[in-house]
Amino acid sequence: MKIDYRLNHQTTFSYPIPVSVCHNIVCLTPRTGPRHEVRSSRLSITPRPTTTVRRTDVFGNIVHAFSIEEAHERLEIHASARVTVRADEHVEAGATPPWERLAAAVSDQTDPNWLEACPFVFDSPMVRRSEAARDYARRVFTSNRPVLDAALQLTAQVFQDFEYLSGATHVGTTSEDALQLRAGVCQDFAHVQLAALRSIGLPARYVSGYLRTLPPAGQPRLIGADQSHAWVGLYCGPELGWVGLDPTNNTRTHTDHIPLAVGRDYTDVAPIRGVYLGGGNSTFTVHVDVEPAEEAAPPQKS
Amino acid sequence: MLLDAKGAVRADWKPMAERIKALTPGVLGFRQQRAQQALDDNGILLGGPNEVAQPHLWPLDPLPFQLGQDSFRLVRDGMSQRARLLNKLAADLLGPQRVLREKVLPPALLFANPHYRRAYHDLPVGGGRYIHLYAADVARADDGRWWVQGDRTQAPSGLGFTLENRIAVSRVHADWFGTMNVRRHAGFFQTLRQTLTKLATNKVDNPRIVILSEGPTGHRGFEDAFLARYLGYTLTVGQDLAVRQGRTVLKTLGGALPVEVILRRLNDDACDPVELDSDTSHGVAGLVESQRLSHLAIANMLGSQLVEAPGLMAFIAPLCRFLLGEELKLPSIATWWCGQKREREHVVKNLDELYVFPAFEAGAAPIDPRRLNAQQRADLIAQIQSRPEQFVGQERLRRGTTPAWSDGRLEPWHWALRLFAVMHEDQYQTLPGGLVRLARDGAVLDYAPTPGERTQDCWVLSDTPVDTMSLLPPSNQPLTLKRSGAELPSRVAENLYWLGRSMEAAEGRARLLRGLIGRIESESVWGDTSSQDSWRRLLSLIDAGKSADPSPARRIKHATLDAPAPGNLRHAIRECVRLAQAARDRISLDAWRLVARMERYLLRAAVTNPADTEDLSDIGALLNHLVLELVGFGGLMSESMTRTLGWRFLDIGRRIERAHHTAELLRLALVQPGGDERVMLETVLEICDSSMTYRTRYLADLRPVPVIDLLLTDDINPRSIAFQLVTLEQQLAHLPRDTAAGPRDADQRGALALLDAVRLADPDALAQAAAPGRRSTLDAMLQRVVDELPAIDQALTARYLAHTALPKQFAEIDLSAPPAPGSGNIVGHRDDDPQPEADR
Repeated sequence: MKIDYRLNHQTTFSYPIPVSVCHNIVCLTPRTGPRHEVRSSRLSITPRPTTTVRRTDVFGNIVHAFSIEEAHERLEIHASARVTVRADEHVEAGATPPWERLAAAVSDQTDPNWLEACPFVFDSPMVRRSEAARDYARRVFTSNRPVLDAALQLTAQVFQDFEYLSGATHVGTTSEDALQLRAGVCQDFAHVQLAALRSIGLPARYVSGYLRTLPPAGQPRLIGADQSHAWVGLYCGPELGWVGLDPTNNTRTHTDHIPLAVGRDYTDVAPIRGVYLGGGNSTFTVHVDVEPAEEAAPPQKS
Repeated sequence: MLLDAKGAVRADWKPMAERIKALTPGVLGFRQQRAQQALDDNGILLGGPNEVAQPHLWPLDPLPFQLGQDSFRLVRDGMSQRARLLNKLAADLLGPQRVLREKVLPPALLFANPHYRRAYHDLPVGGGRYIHLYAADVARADDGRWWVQGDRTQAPSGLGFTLENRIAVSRVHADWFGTMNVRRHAGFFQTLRQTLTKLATNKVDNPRIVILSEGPTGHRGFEDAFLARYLGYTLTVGQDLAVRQGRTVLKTLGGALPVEVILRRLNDDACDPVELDSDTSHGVAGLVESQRLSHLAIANMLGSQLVEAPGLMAFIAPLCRFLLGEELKLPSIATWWCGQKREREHVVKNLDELYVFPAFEAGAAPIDPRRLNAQQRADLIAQIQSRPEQFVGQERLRRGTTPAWSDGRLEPWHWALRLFAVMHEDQYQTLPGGLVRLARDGAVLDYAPTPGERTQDCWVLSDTPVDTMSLLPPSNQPLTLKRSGAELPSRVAENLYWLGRSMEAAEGRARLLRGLIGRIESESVWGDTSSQDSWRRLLSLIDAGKSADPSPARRIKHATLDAPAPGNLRHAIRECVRLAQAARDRISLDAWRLVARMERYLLRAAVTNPADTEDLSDIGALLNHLVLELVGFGGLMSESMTRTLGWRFLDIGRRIERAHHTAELLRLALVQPGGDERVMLETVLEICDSSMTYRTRYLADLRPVPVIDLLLTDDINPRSIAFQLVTLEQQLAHLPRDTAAGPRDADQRGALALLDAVRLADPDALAQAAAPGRRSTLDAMLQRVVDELPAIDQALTARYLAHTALPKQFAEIDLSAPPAPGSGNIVGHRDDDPQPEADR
């Protein structure tokens, strides 16, 4: 099965005082991966940037850097794309290799993809391995358990133990803080699970993207009410590659998850980063619209 | 080190030993004082930003350190090889990663480095050149073998100190220096300049090269200013630079000028808040992008930091074989990286024999396991076990010794040496010398960030006469003559403006205090009820009337000697020191020496004078001295500074401040006359340094009208308010303005209006007391001066200096912490916060 999506992600910043100069980098353009194909993508910025440069970063993400040097009180960043997502082939989680063997193959550099996996084994700015995170993982990563089987249960464990609570955390909350809080949003759920997986030596990366949401039965789909989302990619060996796990929704990623970028944690793939001069107390709004060409599956949290 | 195994003087040391022997007793001590004096005057300040005020001076040993020719050849070749190796390693780690693929280096040494950032990949690196300037801390063990204890690849410090030591020591030992064929440093700096010039991507003949500094408050502030002056580059901080249309520019009063090359003194992380550390307050937004567009070259290249990690030292020898196909010439001190099991076990087992360092922080202080208690020790081991790749164990070195001059005799002290190498085409050139740190106890030197107890200049002798080229006088290359000074960073203009104000505030205050001391013995002044109010008012000027002390003498003493606090004398002097330091690459060395000396005088006087006595004998002399120094400082400024915009801003600051405090003084002294006014008139004339002029004109006949004329309306008396306003108006007219002839700007209008009012005032009318005992017209006139000067100051600031305001943009967009007004930083945004109603 495959689904075609039209993605629209519109971010608008408003400033009470004009901004004279801003420098930004955005990570809002999807790139084709093993299970999805980007048919077209477009990024439009108003006012027109003074300079724009598009490049592919070391993890393969498409990054735009732009600056605006005319005074503006409003900045609109509109990313749109058409993406086709294919369903995974069914994998018997119990048939995957024991997690210890996988961790050892990466650290011993015997796994054919060890170098690709390496950046995602260690600490990163917002994800820190710790004893607490290791203990949390070892509750389900019992000896010789198949890696995906255990990882799915870890996903369920995070889903159950953590309360989805907007405002409990902020954009800079680290995995350690979130692990203590037992609450947060998708970013925190993902960071906690990354910390747990890395603490036992498994390569795990942060995936930013979108989640298709479905309206309650009988109601029309609301345009612009969708969300950007984040989940975890776990390296499961050369055959399976990176498997998506969504602790916010206690599921493997399916055709409802549309990946945008991968990194060690949020800081590598923040949708918009930048510095501006002037501006005062800015406000911003975000509208995300994930429009499928065909319908499926029940509604889910983002 | 001085003696060989047989107890004879080592060959290296013979020339020096002979010369020391030939000296008359006492001469070495005298030379030490002179060398130290030279350093004190230049104000080498060590330590953190807060130590600027209490100069903690670096003691310089008068004996040069001898690096024998054989030793130098060995370390020179070793340095050059190591620099090539680390340069190649940086290019590989951020490029093809062959050392990882071929398993020469464990990947954790790159990916577990907390300074590793994806932005360092894929930057355009001309010719794979990352490390233009390299430094290493080396030591010779007591068995004579050389070891590298640490590499520095991002922005090595120490060159400025090295130069400064060389200049001081070569001057006091001019006789030795001239006859011993000491190899010079100038060639090294010449190469540095050539290398930086060649980095310019657009190949212009005379690229603009700037030094990007943390600013005068950073511990490298002195060095940065010194290097800037020595190399002839503009000293900048992050605020001075901006990225416009992809180009990095220098913001000056004359507009934005393109910058081709940056010699950075910041850590990699701190260079750009957009792509690197978003918390940095020293960087330049968009710098990485500007570099990526190849419009800018940065030395050292961003990402160079990654190869100075102590963890890499354990792999240097195999890396050298792999990357260069050579055997390592200058080995690293034995290092065990705990990311490997066997090595980790070794470190834990032999903890007391080793130092423990963070694996990714070059220059961090070591953990000395011997100094830990049982609990701390257990904690350290637990940390090593849980995050092994973050630690290394390093061998403790038994350091060799060298002669130091101590209490009138030679003593063996332990030493450490920092060496420098600069890129030259594809090779590296090693400085024949370096920064020597000495300590009686060798372990002191292991704590890398601390300086040791002393420093020495390092001499490498040559068999043949040396090339005596020096960069100190400008080199002989033909240069286009320049007269303009438009290349003044706005921030420097601001510093000079405030320096002018602080100088004048200090002088005004010192003169006032001195004038009051002159009256203190005269009991009649304080006892005479009809005039004592005027004196009390005047006294309130020195401490803002905050003191309840009934003794005028003690109040004067406190106002002179109290620790710096806003409004007092020592604060004004300290501000002069701070601002002079901030503008040190713009003012003459003499001016800097003077101002640094003043602060030392005051500090010494404060220490030796009990503040709570009424004895003013020393204070009068001190103030006399201080006034002389301040006048000298002012004279240097007016006689030695070229009439650039920088000088204009300094002068504007002085004029505004002098007009302001003169107006305040006259108000308190003359508006409410009481009793016999003659003593007051005389004092005011004295404080305003106008007694001579008055006496020449009017002899001893002291009357209010001519005094008011001389100090307020007479525009040929350089101490009068009118004179300040005339000068101010002229200076403002020379500042860069929009060329289109239009109405005058606010600052000019304000100055002109005030000048007209003062010029048109009639001294007779001003001296009239309208109501009994009150000169209201004079009061109104002076009040106007006091009120309107700040408006001129504000207009000036808004026009020229406002954009130097500190960037405040580094707040995250988050509902709980809205960004500070004025500017902001989008570190990242999250959709969930602003839309709580959305279905999740």
